[in-house]
Amino acid sequence: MKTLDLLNIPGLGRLLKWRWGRLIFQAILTLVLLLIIYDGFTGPQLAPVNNATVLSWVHYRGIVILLLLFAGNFFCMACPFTLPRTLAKRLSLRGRRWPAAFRNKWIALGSIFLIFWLYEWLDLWASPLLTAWVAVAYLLASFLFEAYFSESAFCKYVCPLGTFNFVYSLAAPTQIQARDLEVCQSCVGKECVNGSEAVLGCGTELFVPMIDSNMDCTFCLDCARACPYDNVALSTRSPAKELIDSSRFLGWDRSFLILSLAFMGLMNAFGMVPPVYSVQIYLGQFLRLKSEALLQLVIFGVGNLLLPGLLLLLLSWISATRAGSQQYKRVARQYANAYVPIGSSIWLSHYGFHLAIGGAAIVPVFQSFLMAHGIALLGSQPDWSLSFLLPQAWIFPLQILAMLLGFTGSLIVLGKIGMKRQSSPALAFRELLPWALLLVLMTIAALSIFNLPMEMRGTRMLGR
Amino acid sequence: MFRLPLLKLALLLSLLIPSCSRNDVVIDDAPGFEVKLEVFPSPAQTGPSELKITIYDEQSNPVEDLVLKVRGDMSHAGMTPITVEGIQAELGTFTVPFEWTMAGDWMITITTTLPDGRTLYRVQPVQVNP
Repeated sequence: MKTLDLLNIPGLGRLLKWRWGRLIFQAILTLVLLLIIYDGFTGPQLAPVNNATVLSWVHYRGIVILLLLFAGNFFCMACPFTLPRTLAKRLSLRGRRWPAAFRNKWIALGSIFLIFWLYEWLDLWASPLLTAWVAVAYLLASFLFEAYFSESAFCKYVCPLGTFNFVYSLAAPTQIQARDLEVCQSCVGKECVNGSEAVLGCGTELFVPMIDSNMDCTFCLDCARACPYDNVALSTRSPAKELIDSSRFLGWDRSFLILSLAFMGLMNAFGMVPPVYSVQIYLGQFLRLKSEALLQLVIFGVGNLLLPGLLLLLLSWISATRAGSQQYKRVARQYANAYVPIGSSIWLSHYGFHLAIGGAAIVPVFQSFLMAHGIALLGSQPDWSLSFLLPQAWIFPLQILAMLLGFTGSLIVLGKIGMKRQSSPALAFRELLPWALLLVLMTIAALSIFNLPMEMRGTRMLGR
Repeated sequence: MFRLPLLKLALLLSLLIPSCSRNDVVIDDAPGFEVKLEVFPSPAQTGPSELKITIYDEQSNPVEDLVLKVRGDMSHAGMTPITVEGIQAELGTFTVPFEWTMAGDWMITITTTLPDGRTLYRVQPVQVNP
């Protein structure tokens, strides 16, 4: 497959590789972040009229999944939360190495579960104030982790946003790679990872000629800036390539993270449809639980962690046994990759829904923000009728299309992995069948959820 | 050399945030007033509906000589609000025709200026079934 190196595109390549190139993108998102924090703390506490909630829960989520699937991990490139990390570095607070026992994705999985649980329990989407506090907590956490540990520990091992982006950038159409491997072999300084006097090396300590995955790559392009031989490319690739070929990451953590995140997509959408109330009432009575926090912990703990965890173990065992093998971990690691396309399509269907029905709402919200500060730049009357980016009638068909594309993508990846692992189609089919069945069930579950009327819940902040 | 002053400046600026406020953040000047909101049909369902609002003053007497503005927002960001303005009372009750466009949690914001110039501002939740 012929590839295109984005860093060779006139203008764009120069901008991306420019010393301050990343800072421009970060500056733009920092302004957005400051707006979120400022309006969240000082603005009206109604979610639909506050920039904090509209930008965080409608725009960020929808845009980031579209970016990941159609371009790459460009949010991490422009992430404003890395600026306090840079401040920590400049204050010379860089500390010790991240503990070896935690050099995996378990803490990241825990932090992403924590944020989704808090989201459901505290109805974060309905509270500008809490949304602003989440942003402040991110800023503090990224600063403290960078101050205490080296190697961008927050990005690599903790950050829930980064973890989500890392997982779905596995199916992104772009990746960092060396232009010429022979140049890397004769390179002495390895500036791409070690850095030079003028430019930092890779924050997450990835070595360019060995990169075969977007996992842990923040697209910061420090490697490209540091390389004295101009030997780093940001190349296009087949979105399925890494899912089929990647041979690294042998632990259970990565497989569990991928499957769990796909289930989190299902559960996050399930949290917005009527049956969740029935489940909540039934469980509350059955377990005699009155605390909503505990009830949500049970529902989402089971759906987001316990169920995918058990299924991963069970399917690995069945699949390996059917193929006459005992390589459970290896089977899990390879086949789990097939849940990236279906997971991304579940998130796209959900977050795309919010972006499609509420994307234009930022116009009156920002208009009213400016007017409240005496600036009539965008008119003197907010147009509150603005909301939809796409006609409502298109949305469910588009969700079906996204789900079918995700299902097909996952099925293709499953088939290719099976054929790569086994010598005959019959053996491959025996091995991949349990994984394919789960794929079918997840697709049916997702389509059933999206077919139900979504309910915009969350009035906790009003004292209910 | 200039690192710590920069950090101090950033911290000082962050302390100023709570002192800022938008001039469109409405504050309820009449906490002693009671606002009773009824929804018909009840429980609320998607589709056409009617809100009946009764406002009582500090002495629990119904107040009629008011012009209300009623706005319905969904709890989730990004949803189009529904606004009805210029509502006047009949027989002590303000009646507002209202269409619930989606199931879920709504917030009904009732705003009016009292005869003495104070602002009455209340937000009441309504759960709408599919």
